[in-house]
Amino acid sequence: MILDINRVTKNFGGLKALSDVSVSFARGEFAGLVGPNGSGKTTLLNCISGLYSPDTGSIQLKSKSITGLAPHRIYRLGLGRTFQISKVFNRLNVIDNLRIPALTEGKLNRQEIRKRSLEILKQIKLDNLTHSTAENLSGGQRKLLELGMVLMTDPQILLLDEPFGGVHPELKSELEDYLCQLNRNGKTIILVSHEMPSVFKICQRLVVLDHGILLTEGSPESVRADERVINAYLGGSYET
Amino acid sequence: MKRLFAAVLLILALAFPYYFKDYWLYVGIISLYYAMLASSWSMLAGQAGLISFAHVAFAGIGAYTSGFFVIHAQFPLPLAMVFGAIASAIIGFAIGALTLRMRGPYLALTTLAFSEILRIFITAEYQLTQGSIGLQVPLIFGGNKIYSYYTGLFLFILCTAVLKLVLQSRVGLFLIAMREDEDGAATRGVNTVGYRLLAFVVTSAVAGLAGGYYAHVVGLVSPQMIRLGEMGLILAMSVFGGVESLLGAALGAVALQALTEYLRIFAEWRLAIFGALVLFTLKFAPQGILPRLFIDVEIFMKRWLDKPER
Repeated sequence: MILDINRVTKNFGGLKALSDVSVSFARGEFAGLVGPNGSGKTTLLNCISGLYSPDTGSIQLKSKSITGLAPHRIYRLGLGRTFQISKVFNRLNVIDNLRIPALTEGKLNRQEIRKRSLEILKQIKLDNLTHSTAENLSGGQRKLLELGMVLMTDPQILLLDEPFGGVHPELKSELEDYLCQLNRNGKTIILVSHEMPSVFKICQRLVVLDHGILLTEGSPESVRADERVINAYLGGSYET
Repeated sequence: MKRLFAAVLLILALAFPYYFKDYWLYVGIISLYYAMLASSWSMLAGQAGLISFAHVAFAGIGAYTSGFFVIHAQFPLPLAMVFGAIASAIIGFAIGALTLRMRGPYLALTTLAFSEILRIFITAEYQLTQGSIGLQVPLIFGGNKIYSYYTGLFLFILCTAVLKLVLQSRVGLFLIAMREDEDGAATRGVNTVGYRLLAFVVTSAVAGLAGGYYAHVVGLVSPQMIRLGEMGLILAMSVFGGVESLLGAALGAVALQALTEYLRIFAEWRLAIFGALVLFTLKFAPQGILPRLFIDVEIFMKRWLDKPER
């Protein structure tokens, strides 16, 4: 297992955002983390990436405990993430946004960073916006830029929070293919998304949260047929 | 254009003592002290997004440390000033390590408290500091104003160059990223606490060096230099000149210091005038007067160059 979450609980005052959640992700897996709004998906991602420290429980990345570790240390262990509301650096241009993760890693020199940035921009279809400032990008473009930033350092595990939000429908399909390609190339991907057709199409396994509790996990087919999921999340039968 | 502007400013600054003597030269000397403080504070607030109210306290630490080393250990003045800067950096590190994990207003409140505690401590410890009377320290170059001015100009250029180098390095990029989105920066590998601490220590050291310079050009160090009003003045200077521009903030310092002399007849009311000036700047040129001026000149030049010939 590349990522082990063991009995993690996180409270915000009286609100139990995560309650005794235990789940593991295998190396090279493409997993979907789904659930209704407020089910604790983003909180779990924040605990994994170090933005929140769990109240109880532990998290292990590649058999090493990362519980309570600072986000930059977790990132350097090979875990990259994107956010539901894109966290790009508005006043910096697209290239500088991409340079930051590469510079923090410190493995590439200036020319290599530039070369890698241009490669990534081509892959995420932003190569015509190299010198635009991030604040001038559309919501979808910002999502893509954020994905590009994560890919700059070639992390082994990607936590993607709503990567399809605001992305043009035509580009969304290409993005799905691109994520599948990344997964085929060995990346472990944990995807949080409300785009259920995409989730069912590209994820190999789904983990369902509801009110901070792990409701169920399994193949997309088994989850789709699970009564508890239909009741809690879909509110009835769901057709793709 | 910015380089040309900086070159013209440098020539004007070098020529200043030939055209202004005695009183106005002294005003120029004090302006350089404020210019160092305003530009280093602008790096802290404008680039790193850290609002500290302890900047004049670090200048005070530099001033007193330098004074102590000269009086009690007979250190040469330049070495004592360097020790003043080091003392400010060390205390800046300690304060920063305690407070820079905090976000939002906590840093501002803690630094404000630290500054006031230091001022009260200096006032109360009469045996050590001569309290509110102030500690008399030797003057640099025996009080020669022209040499004092050029020393200040050299220190200002040195400090600005160091700050500029830091900002143009990867550290500067990380500081901007942190200011834009701290969680975003942290999850892309930026050690946010570490780089904030670095910015805090570097700017504290600059403030300490400025304080040491001030001590030895005025010849007296007193708790007056740590007053909250002084911190307000630094803030006004930075905002007026351009909080995201080292040179802008420094020019803001020179402009407001010169204005202070003209507004002396208004006594404490001049602070109210500065407050109004800051509000005016924030409303009509939030990036500061100098960056606004650059933008306007660029627009004018572009229009002028694009104008079809008749």
